[in-house]
Amino acid sequence: MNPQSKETAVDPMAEQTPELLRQYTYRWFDEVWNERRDGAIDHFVADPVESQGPAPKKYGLMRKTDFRAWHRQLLEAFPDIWFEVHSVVVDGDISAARYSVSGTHLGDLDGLPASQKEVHITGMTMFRWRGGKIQESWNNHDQLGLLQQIGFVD
Amino acid sequence: MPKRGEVYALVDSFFQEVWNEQNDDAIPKYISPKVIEHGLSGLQPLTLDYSDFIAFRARFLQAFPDAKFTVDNILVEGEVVVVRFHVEATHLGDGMGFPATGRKISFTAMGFGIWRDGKMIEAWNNFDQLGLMRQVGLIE
Repeated sequence: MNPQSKETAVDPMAEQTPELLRQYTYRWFDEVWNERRDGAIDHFVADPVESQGPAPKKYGLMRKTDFRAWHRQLLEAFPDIWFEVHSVVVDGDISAARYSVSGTHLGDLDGLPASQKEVHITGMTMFRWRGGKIQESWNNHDQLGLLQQIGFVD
Repeated sequence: MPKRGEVYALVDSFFQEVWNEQNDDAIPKYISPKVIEHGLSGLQPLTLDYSDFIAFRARFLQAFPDAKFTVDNILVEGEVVVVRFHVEATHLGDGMGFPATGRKISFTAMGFGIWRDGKMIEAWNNFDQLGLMRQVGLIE
């Protein structure tokens, strides 16, 4: 077992207090993304997880392996990706994060060849938690800004 | 000052009265006279007064006169409110700066707001602008 995974293990029976869910939300961005810890995915992502992107009613029921693959793809496209979380709100079993994310477009992204451009956009994600794992998430981030900054769109 | 439990209804009413019913008089009920609005990536925050807000809303409603705002979820923690919502409309006007297409559009959105004494004083938003641009044919 990856020793790092042991560090980030979550207790599925722990009461989901606001403090706990706030901690998990920050850890999600710090460990899975900023620290690029593939092992942390096992601790925070339910299997399957329902993930909604910006497009309305576009739900993706993702297996954890799908999420892993997408995580890897995004990290290859933006190897220096960095999330700065500005605010986390917790209400019941749901948390929401408001963040800025930056990175350099050094790898192909969804068929868009690497532009070498630096990107900096804002976004928001809402998470529904159970047993310390994300069951459902909703995302709105500045995709238009991203495409403009890499030069794909005027 | 509203209790936490009352804030959900307050935010719901804001969307209903200010946006769905397009009621100008309701604006001072929900929004403080100077609101700090954090716009899209990279832009500086703007301080809006009521006439700024009315002008912004007028442009949107000119383009999308039948806009229907549906609140999907509201989170409240202290003074911070997070709303997840979606908008459905028909693109009937040029108000947003590009020609009307007559198409039915829809987009999701999320907003973080600070509400103090029952009024919004600061707001951040992210909405599916790319999706909207695609639906009106401005982007492939």
